[in-house]
Amino acid sequence: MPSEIITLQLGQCGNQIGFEFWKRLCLEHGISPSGVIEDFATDCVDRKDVFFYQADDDHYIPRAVLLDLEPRVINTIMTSPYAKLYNPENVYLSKDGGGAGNNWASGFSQGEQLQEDVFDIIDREADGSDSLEGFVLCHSIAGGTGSGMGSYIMEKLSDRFPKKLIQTYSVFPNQDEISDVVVQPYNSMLTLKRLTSCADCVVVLDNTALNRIATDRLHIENPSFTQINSLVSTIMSVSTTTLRYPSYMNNTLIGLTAPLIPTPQLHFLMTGYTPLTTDNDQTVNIRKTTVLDVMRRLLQPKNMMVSTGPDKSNHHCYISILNIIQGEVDPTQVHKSLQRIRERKLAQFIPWGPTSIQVALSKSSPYVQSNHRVSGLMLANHTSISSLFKSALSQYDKLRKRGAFLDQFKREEMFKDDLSELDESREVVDCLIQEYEAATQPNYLFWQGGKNTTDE
Amino acid sequence: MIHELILSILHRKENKNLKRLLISNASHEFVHPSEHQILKKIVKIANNQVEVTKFVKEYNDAISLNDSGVQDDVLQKGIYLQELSKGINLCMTPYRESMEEFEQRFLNTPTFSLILLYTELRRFEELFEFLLEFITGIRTERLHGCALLEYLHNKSLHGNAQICEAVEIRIQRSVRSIFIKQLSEWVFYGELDDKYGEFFIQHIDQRNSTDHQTASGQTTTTVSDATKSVNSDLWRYEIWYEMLPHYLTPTWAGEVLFLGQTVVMFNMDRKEIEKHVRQSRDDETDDITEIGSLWDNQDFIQQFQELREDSGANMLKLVQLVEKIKIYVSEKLTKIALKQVDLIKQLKLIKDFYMLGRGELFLEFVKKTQGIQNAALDEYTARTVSKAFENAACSVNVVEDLEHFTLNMPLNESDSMSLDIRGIFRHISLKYNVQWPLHLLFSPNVMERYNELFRFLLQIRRLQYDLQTVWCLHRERKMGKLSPMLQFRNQLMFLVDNLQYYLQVDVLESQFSILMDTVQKSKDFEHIQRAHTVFQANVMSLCFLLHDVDTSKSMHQSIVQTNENPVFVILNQLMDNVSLFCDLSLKCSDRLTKSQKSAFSSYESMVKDNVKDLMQLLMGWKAGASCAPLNQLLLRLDYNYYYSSQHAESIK
Repeated sequence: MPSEIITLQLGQCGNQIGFEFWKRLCLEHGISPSGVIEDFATDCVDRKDVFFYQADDDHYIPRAVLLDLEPRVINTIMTSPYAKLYNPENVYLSKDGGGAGNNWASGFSQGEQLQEDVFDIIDREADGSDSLEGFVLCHSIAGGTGSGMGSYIMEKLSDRFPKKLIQTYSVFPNQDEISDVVVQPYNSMLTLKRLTSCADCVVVLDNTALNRIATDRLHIENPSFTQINSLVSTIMSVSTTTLRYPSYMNNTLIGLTAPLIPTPQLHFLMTGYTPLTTDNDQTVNIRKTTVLDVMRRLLQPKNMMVSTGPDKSNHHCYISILNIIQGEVDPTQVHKSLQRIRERKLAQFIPWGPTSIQVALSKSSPYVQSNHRVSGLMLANHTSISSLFKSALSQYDKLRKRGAFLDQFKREEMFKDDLSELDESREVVDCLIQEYEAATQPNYLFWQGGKNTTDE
Repeated sequence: MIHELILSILHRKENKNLKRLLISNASHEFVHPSEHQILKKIVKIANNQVEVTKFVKEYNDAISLNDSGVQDDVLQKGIYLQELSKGINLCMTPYRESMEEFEQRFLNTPTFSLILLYTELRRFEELFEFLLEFITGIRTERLHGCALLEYLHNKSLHGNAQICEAVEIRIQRSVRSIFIKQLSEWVFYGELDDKYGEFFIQHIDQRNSTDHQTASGQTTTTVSDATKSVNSDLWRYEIWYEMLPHYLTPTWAGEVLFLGQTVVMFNMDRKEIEKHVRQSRDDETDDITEIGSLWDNQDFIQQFQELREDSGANMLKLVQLVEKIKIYVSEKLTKIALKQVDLIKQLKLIKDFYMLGRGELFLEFVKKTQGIQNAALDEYTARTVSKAFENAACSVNVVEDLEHFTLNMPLNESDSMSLDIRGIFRHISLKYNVQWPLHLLFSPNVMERYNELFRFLLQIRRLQYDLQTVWCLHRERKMGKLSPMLQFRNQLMFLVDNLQYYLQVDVLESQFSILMDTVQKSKDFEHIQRAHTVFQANVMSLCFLLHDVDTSKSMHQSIVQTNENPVFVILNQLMDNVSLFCDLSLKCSDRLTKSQKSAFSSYESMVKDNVKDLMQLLMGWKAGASCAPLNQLLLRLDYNYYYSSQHAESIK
């Protein structure tokens, strides 16, 4: 059982998207909500054992660890038909159940207190796999548990398992609506620091863009969590499809991420998906879907799951692209599409190194009916993602200048004496933004700005 | 005197008498001077006749006379020649009859003059002249076997009705009948009843022997001898194009070869067939009759017999008949291939294994063999390697498919051979248990080429894994982007990854989809066979693996052929440099020693040169439109014009 991956889902958001993700995986692999393989799926050629393992009674159990500081979401999961899917020992709820109160510092310190219990679970999972490849973390960066406790666990993981990869699916807050979490900018900044320094690969799921896509493209007036989460679970499942099905390349997390991340700091990936439809509108899809169409649409900003804002100076560029294309694809078209995209200059690339659009043709699950002939997911490393950090930074600066809402933080051990942790985090994020800016320039490889890059 | 003349004409042997007649005074004494010219002409005709008769005699019983070392024996003996002379002999019959009749008349009326004899003889003058010329032609061109057919065909159109009849009906018919006999034996029984190497399909070993020791006729090839090894024997037959009459197209000859091979294959694996029949009995009872024998309820043999007897039949009918049979057989084969052994699944298996379609399996295999890449080439390593393959297969759950494949490491030349940087993957080979009746698709040669591809792809796969290991190491050491090692690694990773994308998507997936299209549409097994051959040839050439000139002409002309492959040479150098770099990276500590530094910079410059060469080569080819597929690699490697702009700078 090679290259196993352990999924950690943290906090309200993390557990919700994680739940959707596992539902989707079960569907794709023909596993029933109780973990039994369906009759029609017994002779499928897939690799369930990357994400699942088999219990003694042949039940498939996800390699998932569910963590939360308040019971609401986990209780929903445990009362759903999927309750029996998970290993109950892997579901961890803090005993006091009070949550982190949307406070990063609280989440972080509770993570510290609960670490023994949490790492018991993680260690057991890690021991249970033959050659663990890495961890996938699902969380949001704005709340308390996912961001705070998530940050702590990330630090601890990279400490304890230095050879294992850490990939995260990180949900960024919606900036179009006024958040009820007032300290969100602080939380984001503090989490971003850990994402920069501890994670190997961050798949950015931007709630702003997801909501915009739901309203503008799917014509849902008030998108619900479930609708947004189904988008997220699609992205998560497709991005792991080469790991879960036989394919000629990208069979491991390393094989998937290493080519996308040439330099260690620039590891924040955008995603794009096409065609975008919801479950209930089956009729709208009348467009033809060829490889070229899919690849071209993937390059359109409106299909991106990250809102980067208009690139006024038009200098941002792709560092790397991986397109995972599923469905009935004529492989001979791939080359033509690549050629066409280059001719029409549909994508701008970095000037400091060789790069191209990598296209992985992947199998899709035989059990999930899709009304699209071809669908595609893009994982892209694009410098314009820095604008997301920029706006987080400016929100933070506004708040920090006023010194607003710092009381909650000062209550915690970490911030008792000073707020240097906040300033440090700001510094790290600022450096990251600068590095992304530098990456648009030809002399990036000699750029020395990122002083935190070498010595950590 | 005239009677004497007739006698000597009749008893072909005494040609001396004839000559003497001319020289001796007798002609002057008994023949009127005015008749002298006539006599000369008679003698000339008679001489021609004698020559022809001599030829007939010489080859008529060629087989019995065999090695008696007859004078200047320029012609190889054979049944075709025998039949030919029989035919010629037949042409002589009217002449002989008329001479005998003339003798009778002469005896009754001895006052007949010489001129009457001449008139009688003149009827045959042209025929003899033609036959003599005909024979000389055979002698000078040293025609043998089937090639005679073409010669005959060329001569058969003659303005003179008599000659025309003689050639077309008498000679051609007898030679054709032997041809049809051989053909039908080959087509129906897969047997070459061909002691003298005359048929246009030859057993390779047989052919070589006949080439050298002219028609010793000692060895006979019957298929039953070779029952032991299906695979090897099936492919010993090939078309001998020089023997093929030009009015029969090479395609047609290919069909004939295919038919015979099919029969050979059918006969060889009787047991297999029976097993299959038994298996199929459970699911579909219809199939039993279909597979039980190839020729059930078909009267093709009958039709062949009719053709043989029908003297007026032209070759067109034969060609049509063979085509009819071929369609029948190949449709049947296709049915068997698709229904019984699931050809499509088998092809996918080939893709999954030989073309590393199951990437995860081979990644696992690479991981498991990492430790013994530098081990000695001995039996122990060989065992470890095949064990590792099985383990890898187990760990990714492909055990079922594994029963079709075995991986081994043939230890041929010298056991103590040391391994170079490219490791053990150069020496392994994957064996595929060919399912009956797919022997026709997967000949040993075909499988060897697949293996070559397999080894090439596996080496790239290994490099990719090595580079990823280096990536992990750099990650663990938190190496900054300023490090030249890291930057160099990125470039190599890019090159290897994109080379692999090119091979897997642009070449293998694309060509495979074309092949699958044909297989699914086609009812005709020969089309499938051809599509497969074209597929393999294209794959090999697009993977830059065709570096030898293929000397034996293949029947499929549509194959892309490249003679020298400079790309392959460069790629190999590049690959070596990559593995050297990986070795260095994994060994060195954070700070490079002086020697490591110099090694590193030498790799760097070598790779730079490799890339430059490659770009130059590919761009050069781009200019020549003939190598369009290579643009695909160039497009991938130079997608953001990084290398071409660097290249342009270096030129300036």
